[in-house]
Amino acid sequence: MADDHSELLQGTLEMLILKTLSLEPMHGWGIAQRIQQVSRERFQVNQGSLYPALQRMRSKGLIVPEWRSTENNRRARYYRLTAAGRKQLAAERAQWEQSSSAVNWILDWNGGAV
Amino acid sequence: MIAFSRARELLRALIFRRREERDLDDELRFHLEMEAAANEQRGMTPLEARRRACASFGGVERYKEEVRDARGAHHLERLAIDMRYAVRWLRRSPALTITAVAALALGIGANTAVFSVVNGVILRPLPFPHPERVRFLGWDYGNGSRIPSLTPLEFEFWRERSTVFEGVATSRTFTAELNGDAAEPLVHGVRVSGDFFDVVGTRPAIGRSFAREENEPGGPRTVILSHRFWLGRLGGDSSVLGRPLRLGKDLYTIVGIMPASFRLVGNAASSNEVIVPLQLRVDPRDEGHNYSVVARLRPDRSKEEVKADLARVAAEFHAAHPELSNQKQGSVYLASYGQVYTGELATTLWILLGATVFVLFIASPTWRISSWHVHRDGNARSLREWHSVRDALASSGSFSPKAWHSDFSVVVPDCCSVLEACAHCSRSCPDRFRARMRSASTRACWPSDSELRQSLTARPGLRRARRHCRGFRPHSRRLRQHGDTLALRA
Repeated sequence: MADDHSELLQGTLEMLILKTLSLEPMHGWGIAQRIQQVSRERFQVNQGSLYPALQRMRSKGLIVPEWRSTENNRRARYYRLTAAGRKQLAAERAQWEQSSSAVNWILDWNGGAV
Repeated sequence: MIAFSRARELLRALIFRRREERDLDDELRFHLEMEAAANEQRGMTPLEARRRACASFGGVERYKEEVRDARGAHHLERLAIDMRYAVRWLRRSPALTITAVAALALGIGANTAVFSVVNGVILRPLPFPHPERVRFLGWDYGNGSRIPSLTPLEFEFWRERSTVFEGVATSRTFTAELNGDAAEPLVHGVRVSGDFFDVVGTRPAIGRSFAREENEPGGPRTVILSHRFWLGRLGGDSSVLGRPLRLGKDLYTIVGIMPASFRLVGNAASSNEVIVPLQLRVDPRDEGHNYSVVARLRPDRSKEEVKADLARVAAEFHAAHPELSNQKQGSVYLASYGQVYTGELATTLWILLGATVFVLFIASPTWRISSWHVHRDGNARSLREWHSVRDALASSGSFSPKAWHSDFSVVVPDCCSVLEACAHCSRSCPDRFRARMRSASTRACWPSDSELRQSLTARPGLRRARRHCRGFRPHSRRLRQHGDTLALRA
């Protein structure tokens, strides 16, 4: 269980939310589903923790909430990415790639000269 | 940009608190229902689907609380709630409240009064720049007897010969009838020697200080006004410079006005309204120690240099005036403001301040004891219970002590703990209880009867919580009855 469901890395939740919302506006439950599906069930988002994160991002002006009907005609709060959110996603993605490639270099290092 | 949107969100959270709560509630309920529906599609029973949805959500109240924290306005809300709670309890026992408030007021008042005296007299006595460099000069006979003033001859000698002072000045107070009219109130004034403005480190705000020849005996009569005198007697008219002012029999020309912040202390009382040149005539036969002398030390001279300089000038003085030295030994000594004017009084003042601080120390526990009494008399049981419930929940592992404010942020399997907490909270903090219980998303995760039954028997943490709660008869009776009914039904 612990082997195939990893805890989310600290601080990556917001980036994943940004990424999910960059495709289309989505409600909280949908974001959780999407993250779980797309990560092939590797990430078990503690669903409740999504909402404090959404509120924080909303306070920073990265996302805007709006009430809409779902396809089943239910009222749900959808979140939409703002321009600031898009910029933030690009920045976080760049930073993520930088640090993950650094970690990969270290892991791939076989003891030879760099 | 981020700061701006944060401020906007904070404002929104404060103004639209209710709407935000409702939105959050609707949002979480939507989430739980969607999750339960998805679980049902996977083939679970409706009950199981709902339970799993709540479990994977991980505690509705807990995350609601976190969202409120993220909104930022939560601290203010908590403060308001706590204040309301405090006021309600204090109102229940007005006599004690009044006693405690009076004790506190007395303590604070006495402290403020004594401190303002200490502040004025000891901490910030001289309203000049660098008051720590100001010294009073006196005559030390060398056999332990001292006079805190000098003769005109000694004053002039040290003023001319000493090299460690930026200035040495003396002054005498006087009173005169304004315009020579006996019907007018007396004007209090001070006559000052030439270096006076160097010593106090302050110059007139308008006009000039005295010229050298104005301080020679028989020189032109000029006057500098205090700010208060200028405003009060002359209407703050800036064209007064150069105009004559009659003090007693003599006619003076106004040459300057001191800044409003300036006041004199010591021998020149703060009521001094005019400053005129002293025009001191040095007469060696005048052996009266009638002049208190103030000097300002140069900042670049060490203590030893000052001491050596005083000794050198004293030797020169005795050599220059052997006729005086036969009957009079000794030299000039320096004293700080504190040594001259507060001295023993300073100790007394510190003791007084200590005493009033002590009063405040006594007053504060009085306050605490009385509020404690209010708790006891009023609703002690609910307070104690509330605390125990909090501890019980904390010990059952589902309640973080950090979040104790939030009443009952508890995950679903501990539904019975929730129930216990609610039973108590409904009495001890009804406002919060009602508001939270009205929310549909919290009730969506409410335990069903069968779950309640299960957890009553199953969980060790819960048993601990129940043991804690057993003492609270009146308030948990309802709960126990509820539990008993369930047991019967089982």
